[in-house]
Amino acid sequence: MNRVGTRDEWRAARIELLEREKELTRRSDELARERQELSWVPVEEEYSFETDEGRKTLPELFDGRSQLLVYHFMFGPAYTAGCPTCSAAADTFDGGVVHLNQRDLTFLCASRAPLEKLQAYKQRMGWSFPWVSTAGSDFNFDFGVSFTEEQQREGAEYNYRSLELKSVLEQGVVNDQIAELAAAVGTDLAGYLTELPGLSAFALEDGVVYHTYSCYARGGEFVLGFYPFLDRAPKGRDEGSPPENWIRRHDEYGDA
Amino acid sequence: MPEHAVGTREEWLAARIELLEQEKHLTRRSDELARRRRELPWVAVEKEYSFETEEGTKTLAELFDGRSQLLVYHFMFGPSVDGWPEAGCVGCSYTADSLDGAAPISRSTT
Repeated sequence: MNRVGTRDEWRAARIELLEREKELTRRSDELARERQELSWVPVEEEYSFETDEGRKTLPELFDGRSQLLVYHFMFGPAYTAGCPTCSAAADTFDGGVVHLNQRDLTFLCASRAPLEKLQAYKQRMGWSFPWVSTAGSDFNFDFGVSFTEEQQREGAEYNYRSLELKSVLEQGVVNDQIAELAAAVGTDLAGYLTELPGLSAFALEDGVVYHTYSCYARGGEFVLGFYPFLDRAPKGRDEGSPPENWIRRHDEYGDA
Repeated sequence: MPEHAVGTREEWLAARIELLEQEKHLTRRSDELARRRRELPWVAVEKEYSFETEEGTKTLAELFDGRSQLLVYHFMFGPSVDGWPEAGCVGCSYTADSLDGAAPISRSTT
């Protein structure tokens, strides 16, 4: 149990913390501005996506709006179910989509598994946000979230630095956490580690698509809508070190 | 050409990596403030509150529903709020749209 104090002691400490919280908020606003100031890079490759309404190009994914946000949901060709952590993030997407659309922004998920697998899983989870398949396209490779067998052997880049997948794969089941996650998506380590999570932003102007931003790893942690709540609860995230793998799909939790 | 600055992939990447460092700094700072929140002293709640719930009147302790932690979102829904008595605050309703999926059910938090 924490130290117990008087209301006055708590209040003095709380006000001091509030000043730091305000600084963090202002700093966060400033970084949002800096994101918007990044130069735009024209996307010259022609990508093609399988969607619920048939095959679409990247400009068509904007669905009449001028901005597109793509969550790269980890669901690789070898997976039998989506990544549990991405699934926990996706549990809050439906509530947000209608509001994002009001801001001239189309939001969708993109994964490399075939569309039928995505559709079946989406139905199981009870979601309605748009989800497209990048099967047969380089899209998820080009935006740094999918990895070829060669990259798994020779090294790849993730979150703007080199990523060594070979040693993870060679450690095999020694790495319990990753082995658990691979089992949770119904494949082995090599099958699981073809995908990693990320979020990419695009703008459409005069028929030209521009890539504006991508984030990965903890840079995209904000999609997990429950973490900010846990960060304000008495025990916090309470995940231990190394962090325990507690996240399950919402239909796989026992009573808690 | 758009009004926004258009650059090459290399120009973008250099600026993006610089921004990434700032983003990482912000994440670490956020982790540190989460730690500081947990270090605040706890203050005993001595007042007896009573709440109307779908399962009848409950005390504050009962709202924990068997868990050891409770997080309360104070949703603006009252006589001074626009929409009363049929509707709650627009901003709170917007927030609530994402709450169902976020409820961290396995973290011993109600």
